[in-house]
Amino acid sequence: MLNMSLIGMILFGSVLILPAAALVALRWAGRTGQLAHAERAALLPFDEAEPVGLMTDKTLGVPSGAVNQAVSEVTSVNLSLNSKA
Amino acid sequence: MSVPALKALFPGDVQDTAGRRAQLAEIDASCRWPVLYFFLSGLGWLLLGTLLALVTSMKLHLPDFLAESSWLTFGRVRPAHLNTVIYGFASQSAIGVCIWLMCRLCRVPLMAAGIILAANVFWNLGLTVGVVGILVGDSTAIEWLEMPAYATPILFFSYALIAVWAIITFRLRREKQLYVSQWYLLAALLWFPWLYSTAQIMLLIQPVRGVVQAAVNWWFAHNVLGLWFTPIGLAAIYYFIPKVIGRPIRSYYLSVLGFWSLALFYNWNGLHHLVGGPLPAWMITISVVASVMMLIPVIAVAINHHYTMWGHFHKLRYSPTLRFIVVGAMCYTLTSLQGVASALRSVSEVTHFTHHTIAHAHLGMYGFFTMVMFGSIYYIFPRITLREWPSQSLISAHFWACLLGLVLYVVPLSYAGVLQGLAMNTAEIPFLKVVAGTLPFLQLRTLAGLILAAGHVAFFANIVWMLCRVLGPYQQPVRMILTGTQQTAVAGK
Amino acid sequence: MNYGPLLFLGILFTLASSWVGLVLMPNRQLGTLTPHVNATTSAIYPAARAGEAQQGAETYRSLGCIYCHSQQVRPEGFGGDIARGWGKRRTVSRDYLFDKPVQLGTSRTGPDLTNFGERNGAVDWNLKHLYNPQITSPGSIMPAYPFLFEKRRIGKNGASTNALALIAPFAPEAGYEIVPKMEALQLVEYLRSLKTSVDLPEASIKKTEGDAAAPDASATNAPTGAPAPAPAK
Repeated sequence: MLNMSLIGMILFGSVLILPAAALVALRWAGRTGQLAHAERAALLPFDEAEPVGLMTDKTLGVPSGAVNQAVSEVTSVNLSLNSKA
Repeated sequence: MSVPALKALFPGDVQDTAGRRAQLAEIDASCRWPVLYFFLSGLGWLLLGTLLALVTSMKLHLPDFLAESSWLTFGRVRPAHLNTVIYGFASQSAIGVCIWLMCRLCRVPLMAAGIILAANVFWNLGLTVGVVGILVGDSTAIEWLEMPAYATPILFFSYALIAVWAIITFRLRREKQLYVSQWYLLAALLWFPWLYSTAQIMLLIQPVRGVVQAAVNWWFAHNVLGLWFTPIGLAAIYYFIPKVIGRPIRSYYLSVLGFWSLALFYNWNGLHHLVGGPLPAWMITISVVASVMMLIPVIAVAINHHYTMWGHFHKLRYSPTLRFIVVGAMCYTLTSLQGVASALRSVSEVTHFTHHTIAHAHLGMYGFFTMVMFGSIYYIFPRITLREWPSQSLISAHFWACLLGLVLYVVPLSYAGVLQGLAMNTAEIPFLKVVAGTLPFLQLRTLAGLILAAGHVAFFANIVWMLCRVLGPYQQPVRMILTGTQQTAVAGK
Repeated sequence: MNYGPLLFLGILFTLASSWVGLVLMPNRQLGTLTPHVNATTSAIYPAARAGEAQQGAETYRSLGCIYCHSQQVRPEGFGGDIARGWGKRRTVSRDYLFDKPVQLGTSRTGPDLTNFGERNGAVDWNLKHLYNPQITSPGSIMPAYPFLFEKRRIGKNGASTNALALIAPFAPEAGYEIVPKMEALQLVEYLRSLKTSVDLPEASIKKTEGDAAAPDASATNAPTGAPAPAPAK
């Protein structure tokens, strides 16, 4: 210990201090409710138009008959895309 | 225009179904041309890079092949291949995916498309200058930074434009909460310019002394993988697996752990490429330790991705995006574990300097990153062009060719590398005998390359076919969102 | 984590750590390294390369030799480098002081070249090897470099003194000769200059009874002990 160089002491100190700081931060986060909303962020890719439970890609394996039927069922929502594109 | 003024253009977020659908459609439409340009020029470079790869591979077992021309000598075609696929295909498709994901997750339409288009022009210009520079003999011979010093500033400028655009978009986001993909994207966009400028200054403009070059070189080169491609690839996986199967990621806590442990450890990994080399032991040891620490983010990400897929594997049948992305996620786990092992001194003693490293690099850049990019393009392309993929058979051909080619490439060559390394460490075996031992595997690699090339041609054919439809009359895209009447209602005219 | 600025700082701090650790610190430690001066002979090592060999280094870089040939010797007992005769000691930072760029290499599709000049300095052998490796090393997968040579008609005064002595099937048709271009000669000079067998305080050469013997023939695909004639110019 006596011969420990400055760098060695800094390393030794940080090994103790950094995890301690991480634990304090985690405790603070838990107590002040920072983690309560965390799981909610997992829902961000979804919305009212494409909600959880909806598979959004069926490019393969769908027989063309089903496609034609679906086309006939489409209720067209006019978004005038071309004017915006 | 100031930030508050721009923000005023985008008042509060919509909340109802019809409004959401309109919003998604508006965002996708706004991304159309900028993202399309990046995808298409990326694909052009992919085809060129594939051709260069085949030439490179053939030269290793047919050394007389195209030997007459200095432009096409092995030592130039190989870096030309690397630079076209890394900076041409992989980076450009990454930027395309990045732009689209940023807009979708920030819930704002693409703004200032001019910046993106200018960036695309400069990127392709810089790359063309750089690759021609390599072929005429101006390669720097610094791995992953071969493009000569007169080309890289053009690329850096183009890159700066994209980073500025991304930060503006990020600041103007309507959705204030951040999804894990956005952290990865933002991190990649901020890390890369730091890496690229440090490498350019310390290696090309004002080279540092002696082996410090090697340290900077591998700090840069490994971080291009770890801090540029990996975060963008993971961002895409974190978005597309939940999005396609319709189920949120399994554990958001794990994704937080995965992100910050990756940020902490990955950037210390680079010097494991110099195990046994002429640098002080502490530098290499610290990289070996950091490489082993990578087990934390890799396992966290693997559990999250694969656990999210659990029970949804039957959906692979329907979605090309899911197929490519899931294979990519699996390859990420595999290549990361292989990378941790190869960083250990005892393993590196055998596998370093052999074809094992080449196989590992392709498992990472092709098996993981390229597959994820293919998957993302399959999802994004129909949405920004509002056209269906014309041929399901071409999609299947593309997927199976990629998978078969990949396995045929990585498995035999990894094995060959170990044999090669063991033989090379046995001084009694003449060197030419070591070389002869690798030959059958090098020939097999050319075969694997041909299969991959066939897959790329199938992909390209489908894209060209689709582009013909983009120029033609509007069609209702149905298959990509065939989930009932409500969901098929994206319409145009 | 919804705090953009916090995320931003975290992203920058993490990369800053390795930037300091793996870029600045190595530069601080090794950027001021100086050549070693032998106390008794006052010989300086390493010395900067002289004109022709330095030109050859540029050709080596330009042709991408690094993609198959490494220039580093790993320590005794770590891999077979020293046992193969690729060097008498491991290489250390000081060996590369004047290399721009440093071409350590990451692949050994071909043999290591750190001490190639000590193993095989024969100009004639090297030129033939570059013209077509099959002449000197049948079975090698190294590419031929015909573009470093000029095929020309033999003039009235007979064959040039520096023409390669080739026999069938490698010889050109009757009346023609193969003469090395400047780049080929420079490249060979560079290869001949690759030598690191100098005792350094941080890496000394182990003195053994076999010290004077030529390196093991299995170490390289070149014949050993060939006398080195004067460079053809």
